[in-house]
Amino acid sequence: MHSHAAGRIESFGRTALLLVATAAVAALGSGCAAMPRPQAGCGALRVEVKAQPKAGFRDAGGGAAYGDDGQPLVRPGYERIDYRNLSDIVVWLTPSDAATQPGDADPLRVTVNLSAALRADAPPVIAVGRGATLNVVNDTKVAEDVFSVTRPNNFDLGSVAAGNAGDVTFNEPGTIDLLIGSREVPVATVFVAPTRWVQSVRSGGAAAFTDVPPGRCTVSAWHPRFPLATSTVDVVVGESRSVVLRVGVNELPK
Amino acid sequence: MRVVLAVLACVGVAATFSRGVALAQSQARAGVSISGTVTPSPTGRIPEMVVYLESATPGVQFEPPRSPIIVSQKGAQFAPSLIVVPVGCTVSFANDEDTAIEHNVYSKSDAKPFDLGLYKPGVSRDVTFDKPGPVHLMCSIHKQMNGHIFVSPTPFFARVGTDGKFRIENVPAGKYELKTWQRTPRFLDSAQPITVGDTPQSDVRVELKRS
Repeated sequence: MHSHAAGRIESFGRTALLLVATAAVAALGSGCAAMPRPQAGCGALRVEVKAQPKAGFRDAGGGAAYGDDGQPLVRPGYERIDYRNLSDIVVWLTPSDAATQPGDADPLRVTVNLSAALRADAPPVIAVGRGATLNVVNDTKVAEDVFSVTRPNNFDLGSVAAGNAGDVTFNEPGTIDLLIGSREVPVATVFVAPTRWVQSVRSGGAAAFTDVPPGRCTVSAWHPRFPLATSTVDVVVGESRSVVLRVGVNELPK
Repeated sequence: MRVVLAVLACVGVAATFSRGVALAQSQARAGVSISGTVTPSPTGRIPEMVVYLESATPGVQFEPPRSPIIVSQKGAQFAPSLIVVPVGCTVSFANDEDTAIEHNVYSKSDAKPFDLGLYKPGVSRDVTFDKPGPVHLMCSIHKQMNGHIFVSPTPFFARVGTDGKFRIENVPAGKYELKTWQRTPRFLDSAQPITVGDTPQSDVRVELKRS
């Protein structure tokens, strides 16, 4: 009887140890997956972005918008910015020792479909690296003039027939308003980062870069509404680093 | 005695003449009108836009208006939604909402980045615009609030009508650049030299192109 009980205790102990070990491995594994792994000869960066409302403002949170008197506001024009779900935040890196030549952008070619851009609530932001080519696809039913007058990347593709497409390459950093003949406001904003390390994220999300040259690196975040947010980090070969950038109005001069 | 009278007469004539010259000069300083037409190419709708003069002489300054211009925020709208002011002008942003709604007016534009903070109805806060250029106004709470101020380097500017016509008043003689600015650009902004004399100009042509 005694040996039977001892056997069960031992079995229970092994099972418990196995469970604990499994949990530990799972925890470690999830932690490693959150941090990007650097490629050979490079460092890695994880850039988390948080959009923040004006300090001191009571955020009503997601869903219905409320006035300061507690009453719900559903009138047009009183909709609030949802900082927790702010999209189209562009993150890019400027390593101090890296020179990015045109043609180095990754991806080299990005496509925008006019019909999708026209359906969006606000002009979508397309983030590309310097030297990238934008392929504008006219998947609407009518021909459209496609152009931009934003210097220095201004261009004019002329009339793009329905079902056709046109290409334009951006060799200078900056923002570009993409225009079509039939619409008064831009259909999209193209953000050309000065380097190849660029991604678009939502508030609360993170951009991961695995091929960052070692040395001091400036990390920047841009949004059409808010001033530039920057930070610097030292990148080390074989190591992963994390940076948090806060986007909002709290750093503007008073 | 006759010599004295003659001298006095000469002095009187000289005084009258110089006063006349001074009057003519002051009338010339009042300036002339510059008017013309903006023509887009390809033809199309004239965007909401401004033409303005920039002095070709660096360092020339003009007296800004003494009274602030008031911009309303009622209904979570900037009204007027576009104003053109000369450098040095002060704009007063009034929270004139009927209910307890705060606003937070700000801009991230290079010409004047600022943040007025949160304030309640009944309060106004002022900003003096001391650099030329466009200023995009927003509210950090309400996503539909969208306004513009164009700060002109001189007091000589005009809004362009939907027919492309414009008229700039009281321009003193001198050399300038006539420039354009569009609220939502659909053409490349243009710049052309213009010399203003003592007579109005009524046929100035401004061409807008896409490329």
